[in-house]
Amino acid sequence: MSAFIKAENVIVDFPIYSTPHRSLKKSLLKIATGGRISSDAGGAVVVRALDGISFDLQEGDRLGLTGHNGSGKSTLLRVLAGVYEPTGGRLSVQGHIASLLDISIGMDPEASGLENIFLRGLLLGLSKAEIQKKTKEIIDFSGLGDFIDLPIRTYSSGMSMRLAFSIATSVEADILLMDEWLSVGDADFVKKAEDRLKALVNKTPILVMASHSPEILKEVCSRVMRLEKGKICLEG
Amino acid sequence: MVEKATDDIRSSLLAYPLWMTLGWQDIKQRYRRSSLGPLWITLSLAITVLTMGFLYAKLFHQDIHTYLPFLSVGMVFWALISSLITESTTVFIGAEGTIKQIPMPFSIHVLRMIWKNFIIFLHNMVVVVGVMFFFGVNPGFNLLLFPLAVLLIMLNGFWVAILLGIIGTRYRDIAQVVSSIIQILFFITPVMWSPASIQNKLWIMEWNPLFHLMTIARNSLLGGSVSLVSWGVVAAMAALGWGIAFRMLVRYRSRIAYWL
Ligand SMILES: Nc1ncnc2c1ncn2[C@@H]1O[C@H](COP(=O)(O)OP(=O)(O)OP(=O)(O)O)[C@@H](O)[C@H]1O
Ligand SMILES: [Mg+2]
Repeated sequence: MSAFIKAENVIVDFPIYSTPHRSLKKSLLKIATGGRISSDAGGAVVVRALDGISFDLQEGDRLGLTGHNGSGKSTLLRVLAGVYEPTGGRLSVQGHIASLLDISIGMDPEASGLENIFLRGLLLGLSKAEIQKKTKEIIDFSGLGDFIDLPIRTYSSGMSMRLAFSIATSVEADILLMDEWLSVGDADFVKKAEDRLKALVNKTPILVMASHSPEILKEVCSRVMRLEKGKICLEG
Repeated sequence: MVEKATDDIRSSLLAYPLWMTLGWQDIKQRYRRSSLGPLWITLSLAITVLTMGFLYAKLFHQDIHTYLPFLSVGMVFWALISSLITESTTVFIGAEGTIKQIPMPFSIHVLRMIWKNFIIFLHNMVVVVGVMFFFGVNPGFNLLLFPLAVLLIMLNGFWVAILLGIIGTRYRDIAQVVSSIIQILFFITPVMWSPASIQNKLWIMEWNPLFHLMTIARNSLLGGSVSLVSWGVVAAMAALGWGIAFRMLVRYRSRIAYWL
């Protein structure tokens, strides 16, 4: 079955709990005092991060998201990744998703690079056999050599980014999600990484990427959607 | 909604390589730079049991031959039960990073926590087995009940973690409340003292669910007559608790990420 994404009128409301709402004691006291009228009587303040987003993506589509800070790009990516279930509307996603939203999550600083490849791989949904098959290639690409057996707390920040990048981009998926074009490492590595990321983007059927850079959007994406306060304000 | 909750639990159980590895990782992380590693768990429990055993046997005028096995089983199971409950309140908060980046069924985080505590429990059991051998305690056929007792405790731990995990994510002071309650429960649960040694039984004793968990644990390891009441209460608690916790999961599963 071919991959697709279909969003119909997707709404995401974030409840904002000020400290009193987080506390059970305060909630109970509020009941006990008989619910005085206040600005937030009954519920918390909500922020509508996505407000009626609809679009269709088929294989071959490369969607770029742009818009001001806080316009809802990252939130939309997270909804597509399955982190937040829409509070309103419908979203159907078919296909295996690879998210490059935060590539260093799930790394254990006390564990060695090799162990981290294994850990991250499991978190990304790979089986032990699949991870083993990819391990050598990941180590080679990262260029970490013998450092791969040392705990990653001994790495420089560039070194651990290299490792995270090499693992994250070794995935195979139908849908790729990216928050800003990834760029890591020193001059040599940046070039290598760029090629690897492009190859990954090219072989993945559907891409959704948020970026502030018009050049990157123009180069990589076939469609661009501009968000404004959680709404689509321009498409093309 | 119901299907999604059922699926959450089913697919989590199937993802056992993931939560088993993560649970182990949590333990390794703690002991990584120590030479004894996770054996520290065993060693520190052994020291506690021995010192407390000799001290309290004197204080309570108990025979060390029966008191030390009694205490070691009590302490090991108390450690298991109390950490299952206290860690429940932060089971989703602690996984915030993963939940917000790599979506996976929520019960995986619960199973990771349970698995971690199971491994610690196994390390602690070394002390119990040692004490039992040393004092020649023979549980007889009751020992066949041991796996069932552990399974029932885990089943109860599972629903408690879903329930308290969800509430604790929404209301952040729950963690404090629960850990205070656990501290009080330590004294009213027969961990260090034996219910048999109390002349005037207090009604509150048998209304404490942990009383029955302790009883089934000791039934299976120390022998003696099997308390059907306690086994029944623990089984009923698992059934009832799962009923409530499952409903919570159906209703609030999709809100957990928003509350983090
Ligand atoms: N976890 C959260 N809790 C509450 N509000 C949130 C949360 N995440 C996002 N928001 C709100 O949702 C809106 C959209 O945020 P989002 O991160 O999607 O913006 P963005 O377009 O990615 O911005 P940027 O260009 O800065 O990355 C903002 O108003 C933000 O305050
Ligand atoms: Mg963003």
